[in-house]
Amino acid sequence: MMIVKIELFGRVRDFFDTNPLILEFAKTASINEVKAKIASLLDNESAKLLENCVLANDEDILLGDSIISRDSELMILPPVSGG
Amino acid sequence: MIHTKINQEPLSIEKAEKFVALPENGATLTFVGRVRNHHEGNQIKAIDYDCAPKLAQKILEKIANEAQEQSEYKLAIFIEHFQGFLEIGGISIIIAIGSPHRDAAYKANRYIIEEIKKRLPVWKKEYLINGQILWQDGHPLQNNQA
Repeated sequence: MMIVKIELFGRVRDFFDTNPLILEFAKTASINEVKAKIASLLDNESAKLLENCVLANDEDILLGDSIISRDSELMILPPVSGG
Repeated sequence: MIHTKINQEPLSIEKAEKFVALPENGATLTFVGRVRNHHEGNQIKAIDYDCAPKLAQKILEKIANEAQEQSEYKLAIFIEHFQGFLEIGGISIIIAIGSPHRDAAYKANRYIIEEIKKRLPVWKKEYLINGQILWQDGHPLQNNQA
């Protein structure tokens, strides 16, 4: 069992009653699969907003086909509005 | 010389201008971003700046280095972005550049703020006069930007 902890930011904070999300995977998972699992927890409208979000760790934004193979801490980042 | 920081304390224009005012710099240029009282027709009373601080710090450093690499001069670059709650007039960002000549200072300063708008993991939550609370729309991140 692999545990992936997902910290929420921006408007995605409002999609869930808890932060971070704790997701379980039977084995390895791609970033796209992690994102799909998050989307499966949401209604259709909120899930659609996830399409413009990316997953990242503290170092980098992660490609969709990157593979997570051990317990990890990630962040989901919606469109940004800094400055 | 580069200074970058995600800061939860009030930002200081004086500190920024002191950092870039070196003897070799004939030009210093400071951009100050402040919370304004309106956005897309809404009357705003405050903004809460949400941030992913570790990744944001890394991206600020990268943007500053890019600005330096694009310049023919050795620049002094100061960038601080605020994280937290600010009322109208509060300072959300300071970008100060010191350069031997003005053109390089203008170019670097403009490059940095435009890249921050597109790449920095920061999110504005607007508190409106009418009581509504809205997340501001923004720029989708790309996986080649960090």
